[in-house]
Amino acid sequence: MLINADHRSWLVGTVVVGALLTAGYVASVRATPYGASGGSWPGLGFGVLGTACMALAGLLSARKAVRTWRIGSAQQWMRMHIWLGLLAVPCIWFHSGFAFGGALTTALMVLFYVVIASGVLGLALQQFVPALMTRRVPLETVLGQMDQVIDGLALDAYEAVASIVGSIPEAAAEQQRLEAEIAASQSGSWKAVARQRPVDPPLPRSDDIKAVYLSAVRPYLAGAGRGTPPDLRPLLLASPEEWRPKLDRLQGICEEVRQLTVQRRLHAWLHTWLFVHAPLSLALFVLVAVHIVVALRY
Amino acid sequence: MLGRHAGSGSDGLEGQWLSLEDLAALDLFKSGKRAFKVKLNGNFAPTAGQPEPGIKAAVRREFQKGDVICNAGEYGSTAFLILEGTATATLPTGAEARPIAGRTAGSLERLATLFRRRNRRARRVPVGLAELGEASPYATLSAMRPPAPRQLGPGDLFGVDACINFYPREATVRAEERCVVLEMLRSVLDTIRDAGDAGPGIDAAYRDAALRDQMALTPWLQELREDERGHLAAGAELLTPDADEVRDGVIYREGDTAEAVYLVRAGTIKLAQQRSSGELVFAYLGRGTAFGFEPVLDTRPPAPLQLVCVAPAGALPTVSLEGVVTVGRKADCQLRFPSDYRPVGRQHCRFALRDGDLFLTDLDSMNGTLLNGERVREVIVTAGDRVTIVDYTFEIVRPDVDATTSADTPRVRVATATGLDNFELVKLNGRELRRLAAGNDAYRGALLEIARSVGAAVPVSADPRVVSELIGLNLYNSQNTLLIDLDRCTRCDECVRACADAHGGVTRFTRDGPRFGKYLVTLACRSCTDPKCMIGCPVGSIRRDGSLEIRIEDWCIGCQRCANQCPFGNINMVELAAPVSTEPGGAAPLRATVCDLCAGYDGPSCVYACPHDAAIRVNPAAFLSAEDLR
Amino acid sequence: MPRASKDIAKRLRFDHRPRRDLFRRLYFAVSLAACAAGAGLWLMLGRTTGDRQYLPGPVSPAHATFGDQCARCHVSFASAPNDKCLACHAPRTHSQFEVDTPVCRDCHVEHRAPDLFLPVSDRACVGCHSTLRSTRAPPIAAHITSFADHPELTPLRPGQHDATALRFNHELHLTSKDIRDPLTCGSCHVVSADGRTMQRIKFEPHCKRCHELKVKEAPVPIGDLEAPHDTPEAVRDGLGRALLVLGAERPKELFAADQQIFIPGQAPRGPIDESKSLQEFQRKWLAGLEAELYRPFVDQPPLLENNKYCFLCHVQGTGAGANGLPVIEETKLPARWLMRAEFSHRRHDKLPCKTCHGAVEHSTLTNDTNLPNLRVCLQCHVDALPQSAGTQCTLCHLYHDTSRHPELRQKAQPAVSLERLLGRE
Repeated sequence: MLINADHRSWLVGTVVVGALLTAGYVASVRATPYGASGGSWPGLGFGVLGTACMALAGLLSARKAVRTWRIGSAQQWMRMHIWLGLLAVPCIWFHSGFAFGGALTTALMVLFYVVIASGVLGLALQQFVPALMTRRVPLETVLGQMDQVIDGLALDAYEAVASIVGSIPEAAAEQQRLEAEIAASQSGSWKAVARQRPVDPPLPRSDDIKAVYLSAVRPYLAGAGRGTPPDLRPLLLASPEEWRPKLDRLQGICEEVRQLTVQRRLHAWLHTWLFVHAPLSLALFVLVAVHIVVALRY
Repeated sequence: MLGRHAGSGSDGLEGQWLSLEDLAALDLFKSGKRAFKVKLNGNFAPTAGQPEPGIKAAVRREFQKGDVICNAGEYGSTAFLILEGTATATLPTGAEARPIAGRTAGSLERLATLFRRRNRRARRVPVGLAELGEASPYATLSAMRPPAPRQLGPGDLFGVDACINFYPREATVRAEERCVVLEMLRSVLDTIRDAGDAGPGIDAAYRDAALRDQMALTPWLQELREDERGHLAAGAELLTPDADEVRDGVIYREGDTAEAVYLVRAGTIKLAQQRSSGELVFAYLGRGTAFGFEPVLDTRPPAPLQLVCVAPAGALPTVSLEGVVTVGRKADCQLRFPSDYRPVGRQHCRFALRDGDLFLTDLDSMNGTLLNGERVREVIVTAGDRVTIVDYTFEIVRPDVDATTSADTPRVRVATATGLDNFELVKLNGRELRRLAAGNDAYRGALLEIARSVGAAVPVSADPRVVSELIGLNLYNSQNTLLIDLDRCTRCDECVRACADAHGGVTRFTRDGPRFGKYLVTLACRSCTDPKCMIGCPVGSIRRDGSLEIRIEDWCIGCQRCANQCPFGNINMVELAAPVSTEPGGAAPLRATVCDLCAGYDGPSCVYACPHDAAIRVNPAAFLSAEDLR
Repeated sequence: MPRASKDIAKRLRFDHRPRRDLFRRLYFAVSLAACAAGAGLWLMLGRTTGDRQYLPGPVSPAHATFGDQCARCHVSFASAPNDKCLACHAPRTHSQFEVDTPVCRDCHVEHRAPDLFLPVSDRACVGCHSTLRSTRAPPIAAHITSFADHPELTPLRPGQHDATALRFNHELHLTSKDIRDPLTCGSCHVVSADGRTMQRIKFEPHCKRCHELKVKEAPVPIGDLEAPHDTPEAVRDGLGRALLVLGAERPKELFAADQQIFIPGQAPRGPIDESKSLQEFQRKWLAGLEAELYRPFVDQPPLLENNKYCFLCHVQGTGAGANGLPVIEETKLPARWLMRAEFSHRRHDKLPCKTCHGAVEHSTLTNDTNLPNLRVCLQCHVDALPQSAGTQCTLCHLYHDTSRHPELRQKAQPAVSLERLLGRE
């Protein structure tokens, strides 16, 4: 989520509460002979507060299970998640007296730091990676449908090439299979796209195009954009004027597939950190539960 | 909901069903054409072996005295035929737009606050409801002096306007006594208009009512008396894109002879002039506006400016700046300085009209030409500029526009008028208007008023890039679009999931589409002012039922016409989970789905569920600006 | 050229819900795995270290033998109560005036930081002593927060003086040239065997070397008799017996030739002359001795000339004693000057005595309290110095101070068997 002026009240609240907690911590440390301890009453208070912050922040996942319930918009929940999560940091610092403690508590602290760090990393990424993606991938598509889109582009490419070169036996069967697949997955005939038939006989002096298509363009599209996109400018320069629009279209298709690989990569940047953040926070909750029971017991 | 048996959901209008036999007895349903019966059958889609029609496309309803049968300002998709009783139709002074169905009372404020907190543009003033996209801007009508109510009796058909042009209803109809009314879906009305005997009569009645009502609601025609208006109406026409004189949506071109004045009843009209630098658009006009005032105004385009000598005052004669005006000492100059006045050149400077702009060119004079104090070489000048030649100062003046009512000089169009989408215009005879102005002073005053405002019309102040983008993306007639700010969106798909959750597991939009700058214009219903999706639905299941959102009712037969006709691909077909009847060898039955603006919730779920504050539902023309294009 | 909305719509499949990508599909599995890993970590820690995984710090060496039997000190949901400590440790007190006794764990913080268990931190003391409401008379100082604002040592406070009923002049003893063996501090003041106190000043080793209790005025051999340094009754007994023995053993020296002394056991010569019996002799000489010994104090210099024996140093009590003997006031020489602290001379034994007790050389009066005042201590025991000798309360004070009741220490401390220490009991 972008940090902007909408966060003002949460920021102010967090800073104010943080300052109050700091004052309370300093006062409590001065008062107790042996300094801060998680087991003392102030320490317990900080621990409860920190756990409450973490628990509320962690409820964000549960919120998404009932996302249409009108119990606060997703933006409000996200703001709460960010700022309560950040508020948990001084709470836990004050609870632990900035110490790592024994084996279990060290594991807890380490997990806590990793979860917070991954969250902050994710937040930082969300400040600029979406704009990056918007600029770098103007031809963005839905990630979950990328395969189908690339198949459609492969069909378009074949169509463009076949209108110059004629039917290509090596590719024709696969194109038909792709067409059938796409048609089967579409619900509704209104989505049917009329395809041009290959030109018959092939236009003269078009062998170069056929060769380039088979050797560079087709593997590139079949590989979903792995490797470098083929450069069709020599072809463009060597071809007659009438073929330019189709070759431009071909180049455009390759460019689009290249952009889609960029999209995949940037999407990974935007989402991989979540793999660390959310599961580890669950592990953190498991161990927090153990810690609470054990600490109260002893 | 999708996935249930069609019989358990809604299967048509509410009321007492009428069978085809019952309807055949009515005059309205008489026809000599065989196509009529086939089409009507299609409207009702009777199921084999069942006494009831498959779809309740026409029902009988009873109203008590004082009940409102239909309200002005509502979107409707049904027409009414009075069987018994009488009713009164009034054009109200102001009609309230109904918000989206099911919105809770306080929710609109909450929505407004939600949008208001977007502080990307600090200078934005809080927007009104209409701009929020939650209500149609065309739903609020006003008339200074409403015309007299009309009486309706048995055999009268009303409520037709909303079915034909898809705009909100104009009239409120209230039952005077106990009424029995036949309510029919738009599909049935279309069948009657296409193939029924009563068809031409309906069209004619609609046309007459349209002309009369539109003129009654036009402020500057209110000064006319009833009979004058009737006279005007007799000579008027209702112009639509399929008229012969309209080609590619062009109503008239710049330079054409001007003989008519137009009132816009529906649609978006673009007024533009061609300049050397490109097309200069003056205005985009919608419902309630009027254009084409050339026949009633002496608008010689543009009124020639005059060069008046102000210092020393009156030293030289005033010259009208038509064509080429050369200033100098030479004998053939239109503005001649004394030949012995050496500081001024023999040909000092020249005024020339080029493509509608007045150019001042200095002809390499020794002492130069000053425009508003600065020395210039070639510059465009307008009214109010001061030109200084040595120690003579001239001012460029625009003479007053005066409405002449008698001269029969041929008027020429100053701009091209193009309809961007489906439109309905009331074409009034210009000569008639002029004649009426001669005899009615109050009317003449009103006419001058409107003409002045039109004459002083400045080009659309919006950034031309924005406007061209809006037009290119067809956003100009969108009333409520789902935009996603791609600089904030993390592509997490929460919006789509929320939409699916709110609609029984099937989303109503796709998170892809064209872009306006950094905004993604999603493939979600845009609530167009001229919804092409609704045209020709054989069963009338896609409709607006009183409020802005488009709903596809349960009796959709899956013919895919709406999906094909939506220019943006926002309507999707979904397979029914439990089909009503599978035809042998047929594909699984489909039903169309479209975004219904989350009617029944307090706001759109997609916006509500976006964790990154990236999704908004707004009126795009009001919301988007040049900043968003960078 | 911008792509048209409908073309985009046509090439996309209409998914009812967004198709779950790799992340989403694995999300649930990874989350479960993470939970399992968390639980597994806990179980593994439990298997390798037992309950010690919950320790915030290492257990002190004294209790480390308990292993992971946390129940030896801890009670479920009730922290570590006192009776668990008292299972091995004797109950200790602090002061009869203590109203709010802290629990053991308030000051003895186990398993937090290695240096927090013993010694107890100053903060534990200061916690009460910085805002003390003392009910003792005279009350304990109310605001002690560190050694810097520690009140003056009790014997040195205004109104306090050495109330020993003894006359002793340090200056004389240390500096007089008349003393044949020049005395030093260490001649009398010796550190005790355990190093914690100074040995008590006693007549026997310390004063006797110079102050013989032999009445020089009496003729030899009576003048050689040493009076015991004891009560007047004991002196009378001792001297009387010694006289009897002397009379019996060496009669000739004692009696003139013409004095016929009746010695029991020998056959009588003539009629017994009571005035010439040994008892009489003993009585007469005893009286003579006692007269010398108990000559009252004459406060005129030179004191040593004018006062030779008991009342040179001792103070005569009022009233008459039994049997005509004088009353000698109890000296009440303090065995211990600091009642609530311990000063270890052994730790400071490299310093010459004069460093701290510099005023002793000028002390002529007995009721001079020759202890160094706090300023002397503060020369080294100051927090500000980087080379401070330490200012911890526990350097001198002990909370569980049984030094005045050592029997308590032995009596209440139960024996702790090895089995119990190792946790096998």
